[in-house]
Amino acid sequence: MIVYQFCSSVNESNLYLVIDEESREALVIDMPEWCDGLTNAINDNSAKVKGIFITHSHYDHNSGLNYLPNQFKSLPLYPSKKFFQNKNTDNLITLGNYEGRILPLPGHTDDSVGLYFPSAGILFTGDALFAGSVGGTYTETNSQTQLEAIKNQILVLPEDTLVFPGHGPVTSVGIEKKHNPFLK
Amino acid sequence: MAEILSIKYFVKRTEEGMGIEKIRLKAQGLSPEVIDLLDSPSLEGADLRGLNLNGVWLKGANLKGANLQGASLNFAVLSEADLEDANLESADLSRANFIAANLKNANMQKANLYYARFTCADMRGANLKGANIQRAIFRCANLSGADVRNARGEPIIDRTIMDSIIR
Repeated sequence: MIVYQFCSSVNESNLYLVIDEESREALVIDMPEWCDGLTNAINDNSAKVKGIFITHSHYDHNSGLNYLPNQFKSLPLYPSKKFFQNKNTDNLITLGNYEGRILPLPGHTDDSVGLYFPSAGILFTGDALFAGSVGGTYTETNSQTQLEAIKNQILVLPEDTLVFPGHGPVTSVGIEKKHNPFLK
Repeated sequence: MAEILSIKYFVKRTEEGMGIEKIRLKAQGLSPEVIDLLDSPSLEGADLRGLNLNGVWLKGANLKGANLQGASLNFAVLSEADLEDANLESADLSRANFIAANLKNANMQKANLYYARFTCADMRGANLKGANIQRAIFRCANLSGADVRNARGEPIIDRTIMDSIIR
């Protein structure tokens, strides 16, 4: 699996392009802004982009949806409405040889989600979990909800799982379990 | 639109499984020589001056006394790495992950620490003179005895230990 990380100029949000190297199927994760680097990465890898996954509905993660190049305007968006109606449905995304599982991670926003590829050992966390930190919340209740989601959905994953967050550098489940002061 | 920073990772499956230490994270543009060097069991005292190490995975690496002067380590992961006495003068460490790293007495003079994460890092006696510390995160880090004269920017210093810091 190939992962491109782009650091956008919109609040330093990360945008990712994930490609299955065999089938060339690809998924864009978050869309703060479209950039030439993304177009180049898609072309250089002959990637067949099958959709855009939005980790949560904040402008610094989705405002680029309004400015997509013409050929990408009709791409499906993930998660689907069906997923939000019932989180046990439509929670898998197939990307060539890989299967991604959508993880509900509410707290930062009600619609915060992550995407986990077990066979690749990688997880996209949006703004739920960062290297050494967690996403901001508006209320104590939201904060508790977020911590529970992190504990129940993320910290149970193998410690060597790579974490690609919505802002900042890559980390791993093991590093966060051991050192993240917000999870103590 | 200005070009934005990008890093390319190759996440490879190995026969042993997806052990994180087995995963190769290669930044774009690294030469085979550099990749071989980074595979070494120890980088203690290594000469890595001026290299492009953006996005490289050096978690827990032994870089004690290594010379990284002027190197570019954007988005690099050096969590739990041993960088005691390392020379990081004028290095670009922006957005890098130094969580729980040992940076005791490291020379980070004039380095760019923008948005880098030093959560729980040991930075006692580090030299940060003239460094850019805008948005650098020193949460729970130990900066006792560090020299921050002429460092510029607003860092996050929540629960940071700063005894005898030199301002």
